[in-house]
Amino acid sequence: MTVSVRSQLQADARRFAAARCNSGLEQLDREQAFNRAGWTAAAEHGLLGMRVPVALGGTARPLGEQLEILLGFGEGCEDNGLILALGAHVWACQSALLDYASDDLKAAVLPGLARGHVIASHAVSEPGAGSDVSNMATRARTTASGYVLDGDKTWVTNAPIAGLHVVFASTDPSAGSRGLSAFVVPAASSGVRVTTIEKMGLCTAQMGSIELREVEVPSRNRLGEEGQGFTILQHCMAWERAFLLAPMLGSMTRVMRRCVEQARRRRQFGQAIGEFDSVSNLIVEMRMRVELGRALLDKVAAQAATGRAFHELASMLKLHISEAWQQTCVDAVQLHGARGFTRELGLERELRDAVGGRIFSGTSEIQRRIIAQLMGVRR
Amino acid sequence: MSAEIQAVVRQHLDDEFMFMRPDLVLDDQLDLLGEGILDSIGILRVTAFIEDAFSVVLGPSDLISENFRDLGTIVAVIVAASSRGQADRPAES
Ligand SMILES: Cc1cc2nc3c(=O)[nH]c(=O)nc-3n(C[C@H](O)[C@H](O)[C@H](O)COP(=O)(O)OP(=O)(O)OC[C@H]3O[C@@H](n4cnc5c(N)ncnc54)[C@H](O)[C@@H]3O)c2cc1C
Repeated sequence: MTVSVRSQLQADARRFAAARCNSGLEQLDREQAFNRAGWTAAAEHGLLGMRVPVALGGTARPLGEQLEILLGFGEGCEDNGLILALGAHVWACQSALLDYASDDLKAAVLPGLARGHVIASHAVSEPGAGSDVSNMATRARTTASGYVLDGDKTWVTNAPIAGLHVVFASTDPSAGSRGLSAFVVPAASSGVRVTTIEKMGLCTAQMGSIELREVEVPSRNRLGEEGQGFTILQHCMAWERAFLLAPMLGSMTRVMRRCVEQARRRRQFGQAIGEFDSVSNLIVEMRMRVELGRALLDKVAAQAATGRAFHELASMLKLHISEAWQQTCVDAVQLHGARGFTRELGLERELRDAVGGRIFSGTSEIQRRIIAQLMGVRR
Repeated sequence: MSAEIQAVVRQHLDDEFMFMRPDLVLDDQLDLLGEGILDSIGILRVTAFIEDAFSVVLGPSDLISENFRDLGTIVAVIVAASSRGQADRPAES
């Protein structure tokens, strides 16, 4: 891909997102409401079908192009909750379906997901199993025609608006993580009940708990083999950790630009505050974090594109971007003083949003643990 | 070829995993999963090693725990992946 194609893809996505995804954001955030207009616009711009084969309603763009588009999208779209909703739909759910669904199941569900008519959620966490997912209590009992699911999922992004849930459950509790399996559960199935959860940030992303009571799921809705659930989960998490936060490099760039403006225009002690080292240094660190994130993103993308495992790099990238995003937002509020702390500038919203990044897809502590385990430092 | 592959994988398992179980000797049939030598993270580590060392790609259907049960099975998976000739298969390049 040439430099001009890269920047054109980014610029188009940035312009489109700025024009069509930010309307009424302050109110949506306050009311914890879904940005339906932004979702529809993103679908029309092709953001939801970039990974999906053309025959199944997608555009099957090369990964490098997808990332340029996401970087531009993140810079133009101020609604980080919308970015999370899109990311869970694409990176967690579509990854499971693209690589582990039967051809019939793909044909049944992927066209709707690629066009954004159907929204997907990825239901792993439970009240008693967050970081320690292998401890999940949701059970899938075998029946003559398939399975019956029972259990409770929680903190699931998109759950209240989803048409289907990718649900992980144990088919063999005695086998621990080797007894997990994954299923596609239509939201309209009998026995499924979703309740909405309010949160401090990423407020437009709809989060919910899913109650599963005697939910019948046909065998054809199982992903992969019985007992392959943990491998499928690791696979989805690698894609999600690697690329869900890619737009936040764009988001950080947008926040950094505002800081540059502030540093130039705000005057104290007779000079622009950017003349003070401790202010300009904050902005230099912001820039460094974005550039290092971009370099690591390209490295992970190159590895992912070969088809080889990239779990270790994915955890490093997730850790870097989520920590960088939060630090950048903390510093942006500081640099804007009292106005940064008020609702007027929206920077407090950016900061509330960024806090979530260090928790979802595995907390920062868990990413460090995974990296150390994959390096063979610890068990 | 499979004898060479076996030697390389054995060395890797010896260096990286067997030190945790000095009471066991690594042979073709040692149950790596049952003995707790390879867990889900261990399987990922072995996968990354295999893909690097033998320039192969292990696809979703290869990544089932049964394929990592013992040294003999792991070697068979590598031989099968090599014969598919899918080194550097572009997934989403
Ligand atoms: C915005 C948002 C979106 C989410 N979306 C989804 C979703 O779509 N689907 C879904 O299934 N879940 C989702 N989650 C849930 C998320 O995956 C979990 O919150 C996360 O895995 C942590 O689990 P927990 O909240 O139970 O924390 P706990 O596991 O209880 O951890 C509490 C604290 O202990 C630390 N800790 C735990 N174990 C260790 C350890 N071994 N070493 C060091 N520190 C440790 C953690 O880092 C954390 O600081 C979402 C969460 C958020 C905030």
